Order: sequence, then C-alpha cells, then structure tokens
Amino acid sequence: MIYDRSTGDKIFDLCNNLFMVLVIMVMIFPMAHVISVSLSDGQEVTKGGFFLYPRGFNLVGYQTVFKDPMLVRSYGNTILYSVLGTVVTLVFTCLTAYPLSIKGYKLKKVTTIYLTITMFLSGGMIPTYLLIRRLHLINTVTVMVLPFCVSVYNCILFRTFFQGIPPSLRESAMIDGAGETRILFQIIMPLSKAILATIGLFTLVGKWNDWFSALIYLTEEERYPVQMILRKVLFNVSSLKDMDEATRSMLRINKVTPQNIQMAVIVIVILPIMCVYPFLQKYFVKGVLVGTIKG
Amino acid sequence: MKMKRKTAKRKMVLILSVVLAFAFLAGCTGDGNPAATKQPSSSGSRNTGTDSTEPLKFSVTTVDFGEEPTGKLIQEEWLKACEKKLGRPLDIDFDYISISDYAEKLKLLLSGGDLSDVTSIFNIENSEVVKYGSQGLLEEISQHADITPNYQEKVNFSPENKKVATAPDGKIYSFYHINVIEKECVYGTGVGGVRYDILKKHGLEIPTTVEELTDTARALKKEYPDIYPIVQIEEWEPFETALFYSNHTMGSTYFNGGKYVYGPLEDGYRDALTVLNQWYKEELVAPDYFAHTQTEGFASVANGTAFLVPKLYESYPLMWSKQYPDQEWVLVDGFRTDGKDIPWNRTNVSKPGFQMENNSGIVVSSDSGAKEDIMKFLDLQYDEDVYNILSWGIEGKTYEVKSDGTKGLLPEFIGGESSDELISLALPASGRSRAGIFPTPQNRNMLWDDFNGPEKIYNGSEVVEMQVSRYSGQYEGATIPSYLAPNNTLSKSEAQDYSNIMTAVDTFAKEAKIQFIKGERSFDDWDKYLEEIHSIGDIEKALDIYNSKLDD
Repeated sequence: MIYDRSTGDKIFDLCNNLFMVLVIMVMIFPMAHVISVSLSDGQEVTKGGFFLYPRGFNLVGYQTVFKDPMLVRSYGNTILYSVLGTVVTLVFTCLTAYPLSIKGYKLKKVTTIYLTITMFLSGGMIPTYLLIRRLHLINTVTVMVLPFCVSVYNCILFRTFFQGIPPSLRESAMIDGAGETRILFQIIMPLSKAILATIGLFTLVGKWNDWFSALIYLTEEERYPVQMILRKVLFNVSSLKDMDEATRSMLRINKVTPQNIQMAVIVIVILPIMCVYPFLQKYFVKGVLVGTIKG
Repeated sequence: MKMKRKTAKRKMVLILSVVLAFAFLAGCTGDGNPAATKQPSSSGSRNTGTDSTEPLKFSVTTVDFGEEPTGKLIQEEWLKACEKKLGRPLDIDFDYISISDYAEKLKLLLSGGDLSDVTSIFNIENSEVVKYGSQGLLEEISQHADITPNYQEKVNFSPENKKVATAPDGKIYSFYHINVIEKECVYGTGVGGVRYDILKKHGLEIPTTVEELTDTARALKKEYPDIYPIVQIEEWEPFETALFYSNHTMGSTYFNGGKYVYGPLEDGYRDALTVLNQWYKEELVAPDYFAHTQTEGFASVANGTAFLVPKLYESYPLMWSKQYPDQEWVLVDGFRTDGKDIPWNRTNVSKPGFQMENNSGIVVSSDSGAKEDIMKFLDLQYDEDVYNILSWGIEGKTYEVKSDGTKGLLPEFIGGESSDELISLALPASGRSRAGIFPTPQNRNMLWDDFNGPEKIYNGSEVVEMQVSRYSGQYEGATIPSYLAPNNTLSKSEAQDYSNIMTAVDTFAKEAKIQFIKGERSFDDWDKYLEEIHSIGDIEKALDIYNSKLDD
C-alpha cells in the first residue's frame, strides 16, 4: 500500500541513515587500518598514524608469515579443534537435552536442578587443571574438544526447542516401532536445523577463538591453534612495562615483530570466520528467537 | 497410591542427595598442600638412573626467547662439557615455552604442583619461589650444599649474595642468576639523547644542564612551532625520571644511600615538577605525553620529530643512527640542575666477582627422582669452564683470546653486529636463542664492553665515541643510590602491610603530580599537598618496614 511520507518521516530516515553510516564507518575503519598496515612498508608503519590505504605497498608481511611452517600447522590444528569440537558439542548437547524434553520423564526435574547448579558453581581454574591432568588429557587433541563441550545453557535452549516440536511426531514414530535413538537422530534433529546451525556457529566461533585452553593445557607448539601463534607474534616490548629493569634490558635486544607482520597474521587468522559469517548470519537472526517462542 | 508415590519420591530424593554428597566429597583430597596432592605429571618427572653409565634423564621447562637452541653449536658444546664433567651421558627432555606465555604457565604449573624436574623461574616475584619452596614443592638446595660446591661458592662470595639467595626462613630454594664480573665496571643508564644534526643546523650547543635543555627546546620550538621538541620514548623511561635524577630524588619509595625515603615529599621532587610544569605550559612537551608509549615514541623518531630525549635506553641512539642514516644521535650523560651536584647517572657499580640476582633462577621439583644427580648437573652451570661456554661461546667461532690473555668477541660481532649468526649459534647474549637452561651465568664485561657497540657521547666539551660502560669508567658520575640498596626481600605479610598503606598514597601522589605539571594545582599549595599526602596513610610506618631490614 502506498502512503505519503511526511517531512518528519523523511528527516527521520535521513538521520537514521546517517547514524547507520557512522556506525558502519566505526566498524569498518579498524578493519581497513589492519588490512592497510598488513600491506604497507614496515618503516612507514613505524611512523604511526591511521591507515586507510597501504603506504609503500608490499606483501613482505604475508610472505614472512607464510614462510613459517608453524602457522600452517596451527591453522590445521584450529580447523580440527573447531570442527571436531562443534560436532561433539552438538551431539552431546542433543543427547543431554532430548530426554529432558520428553513429557513424563521421571528424572526430568531432578536432573534439571542438578545441571542448573553447575551453572552457578565451578571448581575454578586450578582444580580443573588438576582434573584434566589426572585424566591424562594434557597436551592432547581431546583436551581442546571435550572439556566443557556440554553447556547447560545450550542444553536448556535445545530442550526448549525440542519441546516446541509436536509430541505427536514422536508418538507416531514409536507406534511405527522406532526407538528413542532413531527418533532423536532421524526425526527430531532434522527438524532442529535452526538451533543446530545457531549453536553450531556460536560453538565454531568460540572454538576458533579459544586460545586460553591451549595456553593452559597444551605444552607442545605442534599442537597450538593459530590463536596461540597470533598471541606469540603480537607479543612485543610494550608488554614489558611491568617487568623489572634487568629483564627489560635483556629483552630489548630481541627483535620485535614489525607491526605489518603482526597485522598480516591477524588478517590470516580472522579471514575464514569473516568469509563464513555472512552466509550463516540469517541463522544468527533466527537464533535470537530460539527458545523464546513456543508452539 | 498417593502415599506410595510420596514415599518413592522421598526415597529418590534421599538417594540423589547421597549421590550428590559423594560427588562433592570425591573432589576433596589431602590437606590442600600441593606437595601432598602432587602426582607424577605428564610433563614432569622422568625416571632418572643412578647408575653413572646410564644417561641422566630428566625434564626441563624453560623459556623460549624466539628460537630454540636445540641442535645449535653452543648448545651441543655446553651439553658435551656437562657430560664430561658429570662423567655420564645426559638425556634431557626440554620443554620450551614461549616468553609471551611463560609467566602465566609458570604460575599455573606452580599452583597445580605440576613441575618438570627442573624449571626456569622468570618474570615472577621471588616471594612466589619462597612461598612454594616453603610449602615443599621445590627442593631445598641448601640441604645439598656438599654436592653443589660451585653454587655455594657464588652464594657465599659476598654477604649481599647470601642475602639475595636466602629466603626469610634461612633456606635456599633456587639456583639464582649470577653476573660474572671480571673487571670493575661502572655502567651508566641515566642518560639522554639529542639530535645533533638538528642542533648543528640551528647553531645550538648540546645541552648538559636542565636549564640549557629548556633553552634549547625553546629555540627549537621557535624553529618548529608544530613540533614538541622534548619527547618521551618509552612509558617505563619517562623523562620525568631524568629530572628526578637531576634533583637527586625519585618518584616513589627509594634508598637514598642511607635509608629508604619517599620521593614525593622531597624538595627536589617539587623542583623537578616545577620544571615539568614550565615545559608543559610552554608546549615543549606534548600535552598527552603522560599516555605516550613506545609506539608513539618510536613513531616520533621515525618521523624525525624527536629532537631532545631526556631519558632513554643507552643503545637506542646507535640503533637509530643506523636505522635512519639522516639522523645523528648523541648521548648526553644526564642533565645537571644548576647549583646541584652531578645528576644520578650511574648504575651497576660492579666490583670483580659474582653478583647474584633473584629476579630469575632455576628450581628443582621436590617430586623429582635422582635429585642429587640433577643438583650436581645444575651446579655445573656455575663451573667456570661451563659458564664461559655460555658467555663467550666457542673460541675461534665467537671469541678470541688476545695477547694479554683476555677474551674478546671476534671483530665481526662487536657492537652487536651479525647478531643473526650469533642467534644461529645460540649464544645467550644474542637474546633470541640461548643455549643452556635460562638463566645462564653471564659475563657482564663481555655484554657491556663488547656486545654493546660504541656510542657517540658528549663529554661536556666534545663528542667521543666509545661503549657506555667504558665511558662510565673514565668520566665522573654519580651512582643512583637505589642500585646500592641492599637486596631485602620482604615477607608476604610485610609486603601486604606496605601495600595497604602506600597504594593509596602512591595513587594520590601520581594524581597530584599530573595536577602540578598541568598547572591545575599551584606550587603555592605545596604545604597543603604535603598535609594531604600524610593524611592518606602513615608513610613513616611504611618506610620503617624497609628501613628495619637495613639492620639485618
């Protein structure tokens, strides 16, 4: 239906658009700076300032980065941890949430309370480290995938989503002779693509960015994810501010990684997520409503 | 029916409560003592043979400064020398952790009791070493004095070394770092730098006093109105320190040669702030210099807008002159204040011998097998033949023996040149690749005399070119007294008491300093400022915590 827009509407639209352009610029400019610095000459970068385009264009930063075999290996590690971690998270979260969504499950209330308690209480970093160590998981692939794979918050989201699926589907499947496992994997999960995609993407991004677990639980560089390599590259003498003078003197003579190389590593690390995200963004939008609307 | 359900429900709740209680209790073990709960870790202790023909196997966790020394020449020579002296082969499993992660990982390893047989201590307070040592996590070295003669010799070399090495409980828990000083040396770090080419261009002399520095800055400001001629290069080398040194004071608690005092109360501190206020008002310094870091400092050098740097790391002028050939940098040996003595500009007054420092060291896990053999191995690091390999490297490859019998780096390495080759050999002085187990004893004369290149230094009448350490030995200087302070380790409760009083006082002093510099507070209010700062906390009581240690 066509309607006349008043002057007020037009002014509002104009201001709205200007505001959005400002927001976009605020978000794009740091990215433009990072990419421009990564493609600029090291000496020009030292001079400082804000880069909207490369100065002294060269690819030395990327050439240096790709020469490092550790980066390629760590990239593979990150992909492995992210994909494997996402699959494990989704499978185990579904397995946990499904029984809790079934009406008439006797232990539902008790189990839910038991799980909810863990949302508020935690052992802390040291006891968790000791537990991981006693399970002989230190410096393994499993330690980057398995611990904390089942989040109670995600379980509740899945449970709520499953409760929204008509129980008659389950009942009719049972009448036809399907077991619970078959019902879950062949009926419920295909209907849960929205929640699977949403939680899967959140998990994928989380696993991709996870460096703290690697810092704590991995001891060999061969197993490091790319975020740890990024952290190592970004370490420079500025972070020596709180060190004693003797240590600073000792470390001043180390070569500091030039900024253009640091930025090149940043671009390489975030590129896959930036490429994937636009295609899965619609699931994020749907995901915002997940668990909020029933029926 | 209802009754049955209720009874069943109660039974279920009871059973689950018991299960929950067991689950909680299962997590509780021992008495909380990390040593008591410690178990052999995946990265920790390895079986070590006591038979002298069997290799001595153990694990080491140490710092990776950029390149691991594994397989490099000096590392191999060091291992061979140790095997020869020990009389048995070595099978060491090195775990190198990047310097960027080391402090966090070390704290985790210590907290979790998950140590290798040997662990390097780096970038954590010595009080942490003492704490874990007294809890039984670390092997007490003083118990093995009979098999660590080289280390004991260094500990007992001087009362200062003994104090540095010994914990408040009288025990020694770490093989601490030592500097080997062959000949007396005085080292200057209270230095500034000036762009000599710019001064020559405008017919200006190199300033040596604060007043001359101010006049020179004013003259340059006239020539370059858009530039702030006085620059801060790094946030931990603020030019305020140069003015404090010039007025024989410091910005916080310090040892003045006789006792510990608090700088922000002193007249010299006020005089320094008066000059800073003057610089600020006349726009001789950037209005936001307080927030400047190394990034801004180096950018100003790269852009050619850094002319006068009252305080900087002494090797930077040489580095900048090479990096920017159109810039000529000259070191100035501190800026005197008219009417006052030589500014504090000397550190590390070192007599020949061994100087021990407890900011880094090597510890042995109390859980380790064959502790005595490992102790013997670590003691070798303090043997002259071994630490000479780690300091000088290989004769003919990295150093030469001169006609007078002294050692010197080969000419191609003097001044830090060809550092890439030294890194490929894993000479510890290269910084990036270090043979041995960090921290390795370091010959400081080599580092200061040979490794640091000759700088252009203004001696008051002409520009001379020599290493800073050699210059410091030839020209008069005044030692920064805090470098002469006895190395007193406060206990945890003492450190806590000091912090309880002085955290608020230091915060107030820093805020007031900025207010005075920016002119937001008048110097006519100085007496009121002193009253206010005294009312924040009992400063004398805090200073007494340090001063009481002077009698020990």
